[in-house]
Amino acid sequence: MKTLLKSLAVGTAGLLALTGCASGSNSSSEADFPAQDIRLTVPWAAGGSGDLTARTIAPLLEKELGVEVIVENKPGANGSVAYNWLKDQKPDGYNLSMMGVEVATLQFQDYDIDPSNYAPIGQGLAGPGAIAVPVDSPYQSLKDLVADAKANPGKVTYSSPGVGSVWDSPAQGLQELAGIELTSVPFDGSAPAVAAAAAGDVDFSIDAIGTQKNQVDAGKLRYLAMLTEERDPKNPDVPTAKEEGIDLQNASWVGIMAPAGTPEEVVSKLSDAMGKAVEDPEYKKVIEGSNLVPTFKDAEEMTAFLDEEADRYGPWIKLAQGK
Amino acid sequence: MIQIAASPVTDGIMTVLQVDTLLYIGLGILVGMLVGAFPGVTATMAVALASGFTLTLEPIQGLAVLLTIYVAAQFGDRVPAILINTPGTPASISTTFDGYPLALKGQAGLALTTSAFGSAFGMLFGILILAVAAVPLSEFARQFGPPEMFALVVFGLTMMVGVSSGRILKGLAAGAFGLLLATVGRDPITGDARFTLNVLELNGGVPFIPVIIGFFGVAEVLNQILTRRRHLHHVKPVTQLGQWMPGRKLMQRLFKPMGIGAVTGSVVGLVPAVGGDIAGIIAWDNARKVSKHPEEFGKGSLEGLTAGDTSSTATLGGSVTTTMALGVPGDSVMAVMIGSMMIWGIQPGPSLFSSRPDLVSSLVTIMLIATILTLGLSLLRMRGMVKLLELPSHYLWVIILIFCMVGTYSINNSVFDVFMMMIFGAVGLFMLRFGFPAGPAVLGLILGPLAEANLRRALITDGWASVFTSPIALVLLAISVAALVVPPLRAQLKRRKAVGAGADPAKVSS
Repeated sequence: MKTLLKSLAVGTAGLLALTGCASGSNSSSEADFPAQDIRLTVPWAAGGSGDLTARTIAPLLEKELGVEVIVENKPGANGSVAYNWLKDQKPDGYNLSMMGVEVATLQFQDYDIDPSNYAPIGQGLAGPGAIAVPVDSPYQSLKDLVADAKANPGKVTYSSPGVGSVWDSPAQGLQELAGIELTSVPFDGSAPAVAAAAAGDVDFSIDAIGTQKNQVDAGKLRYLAMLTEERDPKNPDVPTAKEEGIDLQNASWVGIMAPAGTPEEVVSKLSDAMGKAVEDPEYKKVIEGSNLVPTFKDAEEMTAFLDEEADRYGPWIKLAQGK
Repeated sequence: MIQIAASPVTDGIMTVLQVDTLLYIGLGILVGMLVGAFPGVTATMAVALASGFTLTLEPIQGLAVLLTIYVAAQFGDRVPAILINTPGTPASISTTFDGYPLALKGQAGLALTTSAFGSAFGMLFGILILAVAAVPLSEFARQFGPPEMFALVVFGLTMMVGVSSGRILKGLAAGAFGLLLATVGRDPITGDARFTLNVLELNGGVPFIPVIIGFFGVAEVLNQILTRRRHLHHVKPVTQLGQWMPGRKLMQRLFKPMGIGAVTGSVVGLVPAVGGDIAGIIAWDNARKVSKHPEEFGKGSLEGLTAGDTSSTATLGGSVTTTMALGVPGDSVMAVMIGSMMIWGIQPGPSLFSSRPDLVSSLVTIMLIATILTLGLSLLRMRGMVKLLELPSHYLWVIILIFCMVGTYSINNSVFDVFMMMIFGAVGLFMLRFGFPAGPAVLGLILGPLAEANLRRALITDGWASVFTSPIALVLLAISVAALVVPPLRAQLKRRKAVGAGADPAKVSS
């Protein structure tokens, strides 16, 4: 007990010393950025693929930037707790946050999140999507599914990770493009949603190719169509939705952003460092191991992309809410 | 190393029995016991943080660290539950029901040892099931779609009566309060905000762990501070009664609750997304129903303590089974672990057991070693832990409050959570003083969202038909009705019999 108390005391003292250091230096000009440690906030709970990305990329950014990159989880309310926090930080590049498509979409769900409050640094990965059905499903192609849904409006069900989420929204797009009516069964995240389709509780799953892969390999799910521009190199036999007459693409993604007003020079420095980190074999190994695709977009491309995503998702979410 | 037999099973065992792997197991145990004992810091969090460091290790070594953290945390979290009425992780909620009353009676040492034995037994039972019947059992778990989950949760909700410890009306009021809290946040189906009062954080619902720390830990400390002047309400050091180890007679009494706990926990553990917190409460109530001394439950019953602890640890084997065999996370810890395993090139799912039988035997070996070592360590350091209670209470109160605050803050790095903990500490104090049991409220808060979301999912897909055409759901609902109706009926019967022809305590079976 005494030793425990002692080590606790030492630990606390160390922590205090650390916080003292962190808040110590404050003055730094843009030219010699970075002059102090960088805080990289994760808006999700520890353990998910977004958190993993942050923890994988942080040491690589350290290598590029020469300062510590401290990862800190600030989960809550669909990521909006961290996004709100970031908005109020000094735009000096020392406070960053991981970002997902929610930055563009939360505004359509009564959250006070405006993409223009942020300066994107870059994209780190993409998780392209697919439509998959239980292995014994009567649907042999996306056309079968669409035809059945046309004949029985509202009878065909799909599982989604939640209303307004990155995978529920493209399902709205599918309905719009195909002129059909489906029934959404929202689950609490991707894992249970895909599992529900594998167990046959719903008619199909719309989610990332990589998330469905487990159940496909296990012979419980079957890919029907990929939501990608080109066929997936790992699944060359599966057609794209576009080939089946439905021009729908979607991918989940993870990026990094700073508060709006961060000097351009700082943003481009961070963006360059991130670009190199995404190319690192160590990073590629971890991301590919999670069945995701390492993908980089720089700050400028990312800013445009964020606007595109908002324009794309906004109407889909409105459609879902109208039901 | 000499190969005794070139079977994949022995291969798997041998890979674990290497010096470096064993060292990693030791590391995992230390981390796990520490985080377990710290209220607020859950096994999920510890595993998530550790997985950042274990990615560079060999898969078996990495798994050894993560799994042992998971196992050891299940022992560590009983300690604050028994000593200071604060569950170290949600899995030890049921430990507080009887563990803390035992500590108040001056039997903290006996409670700690019994709890450690119960936990170890549950763990071993769960591991055994994983080793023997993982594949067929996981198929059973796959049957649990939304209607079946709903029925299971309804059964869980009937436990509210049991955990009310005799105060049925106040218990139900507390349960309703818990269910009401559970409605705060975003609607699980439509995503609309409900009762969020424009507080951003409430969009995610009332945070569960701050509430239990408030209800159990903070409320108890506040209560002690308030009542101290009237009757020196000080936890007596254990040495007064001198008993550490349960005697043989006592052990015999504990076999039944252990069995009930092990079976309950294994079944509950198999069901995806349901974990030790609920399993502990269900087993505690089951054991109460068949006990010869149900009146002791909630007032310091070693049977109740054993049943709850055995059950909540027995879920481990079940959740590892579901995770490995189905690729569906059995609980939140396993959800984190799946991420690490995929990066190591291990893909959980039905094919894992046929393609990597060595891996399964490695997992079983890791968990076995971890359980046995942790049990030994728990028994060894118990005397030191109990010494904590000999501190003058005003020091103890401050230490507990600080621990609660730091632990709560560390969940999400959020001051909001600390505020919630304090608010619910005050609410808990009110409930304590006016005789409202906290158990039903916690049960409502955990099970409310599960019941709601699963019922609504079931209704979306097929309407009520989906619930009433599922045999599993029907059986569970029938058991739920029986759980509510049978005890009062039996009591009445007993009364009538007693009036008719002398007392003959009816032999109970459920």
